[in-house]
Amino acid sequence: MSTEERIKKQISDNSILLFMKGSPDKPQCGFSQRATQILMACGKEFSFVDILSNQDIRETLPSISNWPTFPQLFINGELIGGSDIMMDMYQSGEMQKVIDEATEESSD
Amino acid sequence: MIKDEIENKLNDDLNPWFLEVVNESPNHNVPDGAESHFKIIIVSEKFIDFRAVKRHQLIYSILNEEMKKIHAVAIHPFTPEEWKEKTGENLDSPKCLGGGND
Repeated sequence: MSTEERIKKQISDNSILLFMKGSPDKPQCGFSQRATQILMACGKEFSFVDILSNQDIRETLPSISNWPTFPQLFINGELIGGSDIMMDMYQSGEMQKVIDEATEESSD
Repeated sequence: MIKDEIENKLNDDLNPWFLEVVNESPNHNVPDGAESHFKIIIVSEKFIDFRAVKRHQLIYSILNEEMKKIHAVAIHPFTPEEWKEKTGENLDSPKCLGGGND
């Protein structure tokens, strides 16, 4: 499977997926740390890909998503954005709503 | 200066009502004088009808060259209406049309 196919499969297989630097336990960048904190605060399970240990994904994803930086959050196959957007959505309550909807759909 | 390049490109492409580009590199573990981390606050009518992710993608595409040179950029895009709600500052004043130069 090519890197591009692998990324697309990851995005379609996981309803909430964060591409990040490091892991939620040990984030390697302040922006990725903020993103995981927001997702944890929403209280639902999420999947992640550590792009520091997957250099091929790190190099390929930006051209697929048209988004040059990490973290990148995908919900139900769609790019939501990076940590700035996540923070804005969290503060407005929209993030909790989007996450709750995504987890309801996937448990149907 | 990368900061100037960013300002020029955003001014040209988005015709912003307000634009502030801040070099935040001194807040990070980088050498003195580095241009690695930026914050962009921009108010433009071009963002109307664009949700957040599309606004960022638009800016990333405009700054394609600069993105290769910098480590991180925090983007805060607003429409004039949103800016007014957020800051109470009304940018909806008539622009100078250069009539004094006639």
